[in-house]
Amino acid sequence: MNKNLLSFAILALAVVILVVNIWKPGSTESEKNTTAPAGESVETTEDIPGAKLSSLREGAEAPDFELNTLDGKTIKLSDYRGKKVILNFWATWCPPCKAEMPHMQNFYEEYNDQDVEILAVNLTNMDKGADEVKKFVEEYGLTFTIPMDEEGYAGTTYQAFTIPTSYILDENGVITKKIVGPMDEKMMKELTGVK
Amino acid sequence: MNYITFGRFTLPADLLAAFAAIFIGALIYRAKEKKSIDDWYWNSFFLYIAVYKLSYAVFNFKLFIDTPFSLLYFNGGTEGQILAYIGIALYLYWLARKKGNTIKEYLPVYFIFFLLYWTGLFAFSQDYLATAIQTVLLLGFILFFFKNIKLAVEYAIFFLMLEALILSLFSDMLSVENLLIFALGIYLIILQRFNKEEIQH
Repeated sequence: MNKNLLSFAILALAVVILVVNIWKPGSTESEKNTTAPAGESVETTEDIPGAKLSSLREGAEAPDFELNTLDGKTIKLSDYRGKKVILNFWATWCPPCKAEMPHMQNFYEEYNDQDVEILAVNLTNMDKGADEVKKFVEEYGLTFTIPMDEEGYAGTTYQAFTIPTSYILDENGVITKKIVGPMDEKMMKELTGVK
Repeated sequence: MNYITFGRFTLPADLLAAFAAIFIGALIYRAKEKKSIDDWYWNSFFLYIAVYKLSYAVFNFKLFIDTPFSLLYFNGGTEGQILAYIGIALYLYWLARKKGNTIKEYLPVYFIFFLLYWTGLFAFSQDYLATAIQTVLLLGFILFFFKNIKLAVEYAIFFLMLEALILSLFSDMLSVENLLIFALGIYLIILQRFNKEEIQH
């Protein structure tokens, strides 16, 4: 290729890149707004009742549950509609869960006011008892909600076989992502889309 | 960022794309040069991973002291990435001073690796149009590489600009991750240019 032609091509590319980057933010925003709700409604109607595995798909509605929390309240997952939820499953004896907890606490402190809730379900039936969980929560200074899965029902429903396992739910209670393994703040930020 | 779950692990797509690109890149180099790629290639990745991982301990010192094994699961985030790129830049500079003959390999290999990497990222995010266009650019560069055309500064800038255009259209060119890659590219262009002048003098 001729050197002049190449220089011209570089210059032309620079202009196009500039134009694309300036013009882009508005257009992608409107694209997202128009496609997102349509996608969701299609996905949720596809959900077949009774088919446990398929109800855990990304894009499907998260199965509801009712559990007692560590501080004695009763909560339902569906109470949290309208907020994004990080639904985490953990136990005190699990090293990656321990590693994840401080990051989750930091994230919670920083972004709780932006309508993001953390529900860290303790797999109580596989753990060493409520006292041990209490000690753990105090030691790590955790302030988010800890539902206690005493029967092992929620853990089984959500297939929390390898822990930590987390589900990211949107404001409509729809699963947007399943994550196996520990997350740090950056990952939680990316997944929930907080700013 | 996309995350892909394989049984017991969830891995970020960029990690998978990078690992695929490392090995495919080395194979492409081997196919053309009829020899294995030099140590600097593998050392750069090792350095990147080491700095990226260990910087977690620096930036989260208290967490690291409390639970040292957390280093297994986490990395230094964006700040760690910046440090890792600086590490690679310094390493390549040091190596170029020590034995100048590897320097002409940096840029072509840089392009092969990152063009592969972005193709992988687009493929993992299932953006097929972007994957197709990125593949065309990748194949274009590989053709250029195999034809033994010298990667002059103008060509290098031209390829960088084409990539910038693709990222602007289909992804976010201005994300820290992408800006760091471009910065490394520009740095390598300058390094190559600088080195040539030194030889001429």
